[in-house]
Amino acid sequence: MKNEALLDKEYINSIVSDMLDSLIVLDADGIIKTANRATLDLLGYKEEELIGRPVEDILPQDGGGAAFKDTGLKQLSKNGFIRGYEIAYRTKAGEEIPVILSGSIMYRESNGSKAPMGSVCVAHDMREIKKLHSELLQCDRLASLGTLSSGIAHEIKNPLAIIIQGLAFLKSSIPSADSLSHDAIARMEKAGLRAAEIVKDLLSFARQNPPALEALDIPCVIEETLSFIEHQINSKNIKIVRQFKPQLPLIKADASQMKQVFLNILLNAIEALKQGGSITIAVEQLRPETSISYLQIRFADTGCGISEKDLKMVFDPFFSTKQKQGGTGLGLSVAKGIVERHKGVIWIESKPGCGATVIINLLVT
Amino acid sequence: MENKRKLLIIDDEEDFCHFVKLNLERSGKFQVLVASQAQAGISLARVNQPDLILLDILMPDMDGSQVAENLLLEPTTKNIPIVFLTALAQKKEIESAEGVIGGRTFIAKPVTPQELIARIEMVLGK
Repeated sequence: MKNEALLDKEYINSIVSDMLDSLIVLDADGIIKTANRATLDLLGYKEEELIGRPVEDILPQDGGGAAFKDTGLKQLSKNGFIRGYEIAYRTKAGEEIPVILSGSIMYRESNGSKAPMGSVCVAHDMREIKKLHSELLQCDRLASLGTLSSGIAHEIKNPLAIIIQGLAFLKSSIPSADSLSHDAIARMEKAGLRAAEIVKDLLSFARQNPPALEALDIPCVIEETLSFIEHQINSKNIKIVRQFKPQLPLIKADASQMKQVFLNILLNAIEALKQGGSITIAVEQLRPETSISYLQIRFADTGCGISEKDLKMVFDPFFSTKQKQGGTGLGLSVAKGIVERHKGVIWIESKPGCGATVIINLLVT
Repeated sequence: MENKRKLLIIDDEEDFCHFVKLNLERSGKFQVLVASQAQAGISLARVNQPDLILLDILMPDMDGSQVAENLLLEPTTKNIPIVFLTALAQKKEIESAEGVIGGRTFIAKPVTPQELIARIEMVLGK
């Protein structure tokens, strides 16, 4: 019988120890008495470091911990349990991990009455769920933005067409000696044309057309794109370095959408470059011998680079570091959307002052 | 004066027509007629025999493709070149509209007078 009791204890210990969610047991004063392996892994403590600490030590210092004592623990002692309480655990390294916590009071029975002896709390790490939730929100936001943009862009085009034609008429009506009026009209025209560009970008952003796939020679598509912007490249005296590996495979992609991607990336690079900078365009096949092989396209500029903070947001719609120069902040969002619709990936590597490299991987099929 | 090409704009945006007319006529190359309703535009085309028609697509009384179809059915107007001038988002949308649009020239609004003149001259074969 003793052996059976021992086995039962081992069995229960194993449940607590092996469960994937964090479990802690607190005494009536809120001191940690037990912590399972998941808790230790989550918080980065050794067992002997954690046991005996007040629960506040693993709660946020910015008020979240106090709030838990005020509301969470009160609720726990009043109702005997707490369920779905959102809080963060603070790790040994100081990182805050969002968790959802449930707990209940543990009672000791003595002489027919129950006396509280502590509480047992289970916490589920919410990082992955929060990440998915935020991705879902972003998708939702982008979809709404796309629909809205398309509607607005269309409605804006007609009044914009009137403004642009009207300004052109005024310009030709004013005597050429009236430089002040000509300057005013030129500024308004510039603003009107900028608005027209924004509308065009909005429509590109809103269009989520499935790609019309055809077998493309990517270096050829890049060359065609470069020919569109020859003027901008030459006017800034930018050197284009081509590093196209020989015998590259054809890629199934939509030619006009791919040109749009390359154009948006190249225009960004040109913006970032001072006179005489360079853009290196490299195309190579990665893992050609395997069944899952990629064509990698790299656009590396020698421009001012991107800060770590900005790097996180460069693909967000309407994020722009060059609004004063007329950037709409949609170019890279559009590029990302297109690449992803081709089941590819796009990312940027950069450090301030060291240029930026936009990298695209497209599946070779 | 007799060298000027005769254009007809059919577009329900009256202010747009007003300025396009002024700008095109100021270039000295064109005489411009305007119709802000589709049916009136078809009548003007019949009577005045323009060298080219600038035709909007989305109009309240009749769709641009229907106007084009009507013009094509009439022996007196069937050979007049039509250029679609539209605020529709993109060529694909225009091409997907039913009727006679596919394969024709279109100019997306907004457009500058210089671009517009260049496109018109291209269609007129100058």
